[in-house]
Amino acid sequence: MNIFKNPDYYDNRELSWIKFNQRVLEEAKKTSLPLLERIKFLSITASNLDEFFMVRVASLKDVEQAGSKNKDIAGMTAGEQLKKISKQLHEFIKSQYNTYNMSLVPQLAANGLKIIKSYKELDEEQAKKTKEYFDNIVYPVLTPMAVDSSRPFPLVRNKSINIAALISPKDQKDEVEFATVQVPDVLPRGFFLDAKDGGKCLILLEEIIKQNMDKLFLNHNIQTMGVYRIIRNADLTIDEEEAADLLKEIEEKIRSRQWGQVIHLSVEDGMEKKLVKILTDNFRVKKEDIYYLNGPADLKYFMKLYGMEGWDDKRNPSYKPAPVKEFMTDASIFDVIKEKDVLLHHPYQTFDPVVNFVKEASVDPQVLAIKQTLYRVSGNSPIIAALAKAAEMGKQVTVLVELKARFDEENNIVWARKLEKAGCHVIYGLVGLKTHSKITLVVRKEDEEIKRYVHLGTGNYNDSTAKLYTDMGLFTCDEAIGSDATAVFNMLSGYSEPENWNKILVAPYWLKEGFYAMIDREIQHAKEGKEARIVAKMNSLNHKGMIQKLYEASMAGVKIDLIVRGICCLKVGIPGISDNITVRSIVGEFLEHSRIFYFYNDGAEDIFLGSADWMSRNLERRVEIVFPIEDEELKEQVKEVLKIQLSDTLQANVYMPDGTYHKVDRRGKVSLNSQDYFCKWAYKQLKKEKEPVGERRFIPMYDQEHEE
Amino acid sequence: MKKLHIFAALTIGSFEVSMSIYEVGPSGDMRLLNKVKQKVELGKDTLRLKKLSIEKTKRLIQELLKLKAMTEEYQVEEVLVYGATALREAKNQYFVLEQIKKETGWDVKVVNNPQQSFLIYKGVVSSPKFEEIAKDGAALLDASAGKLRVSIYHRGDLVLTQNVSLGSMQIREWMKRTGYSKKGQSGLIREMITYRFKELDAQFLENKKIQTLVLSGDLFTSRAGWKGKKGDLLSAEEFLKLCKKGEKLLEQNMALTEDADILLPSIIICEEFFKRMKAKQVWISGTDMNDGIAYDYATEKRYVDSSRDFNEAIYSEAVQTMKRYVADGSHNYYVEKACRTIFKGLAKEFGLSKREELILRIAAILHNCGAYITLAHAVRGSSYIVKRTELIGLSNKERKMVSEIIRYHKMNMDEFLDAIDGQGLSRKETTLIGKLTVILGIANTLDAAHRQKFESIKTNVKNDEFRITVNSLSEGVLEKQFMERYEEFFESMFGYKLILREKNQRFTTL
Repeated sequence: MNIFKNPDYYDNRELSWIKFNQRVLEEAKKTSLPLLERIKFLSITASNLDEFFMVRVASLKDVEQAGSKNKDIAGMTAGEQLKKISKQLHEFIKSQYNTYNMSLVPQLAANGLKIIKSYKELDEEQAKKTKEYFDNIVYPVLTPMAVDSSRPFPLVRNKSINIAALISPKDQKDEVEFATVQVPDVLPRGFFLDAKDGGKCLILLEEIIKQNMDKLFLNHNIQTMGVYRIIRNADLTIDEEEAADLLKEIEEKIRSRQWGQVIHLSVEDGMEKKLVKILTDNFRVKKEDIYYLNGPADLKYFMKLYGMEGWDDKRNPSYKPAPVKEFMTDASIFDVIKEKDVLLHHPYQTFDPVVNFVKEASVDPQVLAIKQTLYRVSGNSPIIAALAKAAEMGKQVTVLVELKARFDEENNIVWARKLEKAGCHVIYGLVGLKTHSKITLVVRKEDEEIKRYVHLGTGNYNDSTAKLYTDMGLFTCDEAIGSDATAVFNMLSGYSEPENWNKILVAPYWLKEGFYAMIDREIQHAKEGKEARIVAKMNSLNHKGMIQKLYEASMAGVKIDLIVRGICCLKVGIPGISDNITVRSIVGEFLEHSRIFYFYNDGAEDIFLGSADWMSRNLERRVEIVFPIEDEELKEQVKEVLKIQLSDTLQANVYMPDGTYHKVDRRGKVSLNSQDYFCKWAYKQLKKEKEPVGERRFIPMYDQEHEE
Repeated sequence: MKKLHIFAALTIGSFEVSMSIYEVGPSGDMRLLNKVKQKVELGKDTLRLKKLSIEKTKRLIQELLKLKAMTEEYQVEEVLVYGATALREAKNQYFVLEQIKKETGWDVKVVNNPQQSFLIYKGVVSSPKFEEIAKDGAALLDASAGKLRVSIYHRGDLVLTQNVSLGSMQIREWMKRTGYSKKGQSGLIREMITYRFKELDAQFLENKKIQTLVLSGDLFTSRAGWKGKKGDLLSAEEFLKLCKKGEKLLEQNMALTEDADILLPSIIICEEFFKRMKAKQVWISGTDMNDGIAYDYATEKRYVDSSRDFNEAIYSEAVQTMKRYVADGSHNYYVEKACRTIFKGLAKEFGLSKREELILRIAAILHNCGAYITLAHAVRGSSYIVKRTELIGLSNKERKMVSEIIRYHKMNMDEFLDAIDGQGLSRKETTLIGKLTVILGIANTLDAAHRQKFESIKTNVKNDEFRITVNSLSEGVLEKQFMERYEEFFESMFGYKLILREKNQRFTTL
């Protein structure tokens, strides 16, 4: 019997995700952080939550509606999960609004920005300005809609903010009609007003509209009204096998995303029951899917405040990524790479070399071909521009644009068309698989040979998010990796898989086995009484097979330290099962995004970086690449990253055997914020000659804690 | 300074189209830059329809155009395109070739079985490990979709090449027709191939001692679940374990491949062949026909140095054929040697090539194997045997030439001209066959009595005479008499009078 079948050994992935969002919310509560940083974290929790509803809750609802009684690894059916999720999210949202009302709004007011909750709070001058704004700007774009027997309930857009009202004709007070008006998203959500005390006031658009509702329904009395917002199922289900043109099919589906099943209804606290019932009936939502908000709908908006002028002291000083020493030269980027592999650590180090790599390749007469995978790119991507230029310069340019990158589908279609127009060979991804790998290959004809230059990364080719996400990337012209890179693009172009992979591990077919083999090796070493050690950093961990392998390793005596930012379905501290495993999550100013895998291998340490988490989707349903770091100096650099993250005492949360996350017990430890450390480290590199490579060992956190 | 050469080898197979791009830099080492394969099941059409359908032809051209784009990506200077079994066996191959030429600009060279085997052989020997592996006897097995090819090596010599109509695609089609059930299909396949192996065994493989089975292609290198690694040398136990694993995965349909029904027969063929040959180990060479094509091209162009004389490999296999037909070895070796001597005396002046010398040598070594069938019509029999025997490395045209030379070698010029009339040969072909035929005729005549009376054969040209000088061990009356019939023939072909000089005796003018 498989001893790992016990569902108590696993956490449910959705509930684990909620815990992650709670950790982000904890940052919003931290009084030690500047005010706007806290507001940013609050809005991130709201943004995360929207996506969670649209995708995760939506898919669970689909499963439930299909009548499936299948259980997840934690032993719950979809229905059971939904119940628990709803319960926890009600509490979570309550906590979000408590933070907003009790802490952030008063702090904003104290710093000179008053959030107007009700029109009544406006003084005469402010009310006048607001009225003018409504009459001249807002009113013309509003479309009030009443519902009666001849006018059906209108289609309400996904994630739109609306005001529902019960209205009755002035001459027939007993006749009540339902009406709704969408808060227009073409206008700014916030309207700023000067306050007499020299400060500012902010009134939200829905409040302005509410105050003027009578102008929208002339000859009617407004009996009651309230703000509401819905979230629909936005998970695209595309029949790729049947789709003749994937690009068109996805465009169609994006349009239909606006009209998916409603899976979440949020209404303002105090909305009349009658009004709630009309919404509930028409949107066909269950009682547990209704959320009463003690504050404005959609807290994502408050991210806009983050960039407010004159509030610099309420934000962390903005960090400028450090230049990369190796590339601070007039030499060609290719000559630098030829000299030695180069490792980049973003956002601490600038993403510019990656952009320059493609830019230089696009005009280099010796370059024959450029190949790249694109998953999410920035709004005005210099990489796309360079690729287009390369094609115009007569280079062979092959770009895989993943059209199925969730919520970036529309953006990616635009890029795909642009690149095609420039003469690039564009691949729209693979049937049934998402291409999540981050790889660029430049083929260059040099005097004596064809040389392949490769960039492999843990993050997207997105120069904007590269300033916010922690990622790592490797430049190399190692022949074996170059050959592997060629094989990857062959595969992505529809050719058969290669006979062998030299060095990289590729999902969906080989990566999982590769990880299993490396864990098995550690198990073997542990059984032989040798030191055995695994350190892995990733965004999420939910793959049952990987978790079981880690349990097996723990049982054999392998010391395992995991740094998992988000979902973690593995449980720590199960007696006899996972005693040797520690898990920590780092939530900080930058989004932890790099994936690093370290295996002690009896002293011949193996270090890999890659695009894959240890999640089912990454290991089974995506094209992912995990690549080795072989240069001894670079290996030390990656080990240092892991060591610092394992020593973080300020941003790290330690996963406890009871399933909760606790801040690191800092007693007796040096305060260390790993992200701050790396910011400083990146600039130190510019001054440093060469660091002597000495004996370094990982010191597991649990050891330290036990010692105390 | 040597420059960088980039070229591509492309094989249009029964099951897939594959292309490999290579570079040879100043160091002279050949490096594989890229290798791609795309499934285009031409064999399915050839097996069912005996021709390639319009749809399949279009699909093929579409894939070739994509590959052409890839060759442009590497600025390839030469694309060597070869067609294998499916294209060869399609009735409409010329039409298809014309369309390929029109759409891609490529001339496809359709090779016969022995040529294909030879290219695969070249691919294998291009690996530096081969010499060591094959020294104690090796069998090269190419279990492709179209045909099964077996070549046996002994002490570095190629001693046998046979192909069997037992391609995995053929087996699949047969299985489909018989409405097999997936369960237990291995047993059925095994039964089906066993009797074919028995035939092969009885006629060709008996007593061949094989230490190592060499596998070409990617059957055991690229497939998930049972993959080995290119260059692996496996023990019998390891190999059979690998086969079992592959079979199990494929039978259970668990392997991550859509080609399970093609792969399963291939694995069983390899396994059964291995058991039958009682080999001790298996070398997964991982090389394929493209490697052979590339190696062939690179050596011919002298981009890479090759110490191996491939003509000797072809000749060595012809010798094995001679032995199979129990021909008079002493006589044949003698004739072959005499042919070489005479050929060398004329080659430079008449622009005769190494390849033409090889054709002549093969004709010499096989010129009387027909006696095995009937003494009454030994020449015709020999000619027929050559026509019907797959001689490794020779094109159909070359094999036909060998057969013609043998057929005419006992004729005088008039008889030759009568015989060759109406054969549709060009002037160049007719004169080349004439030249080689008369050389074989003369060489054979030098040992007319099969007693090797003349030794130390030498040639020289003096004035208008081509002199063959020999040391006579006993008087060559018969030889001299038979030589007469070639006088006119030789002089017409080469413009010299033919003189046979027996040392220590007076000059004899024939």
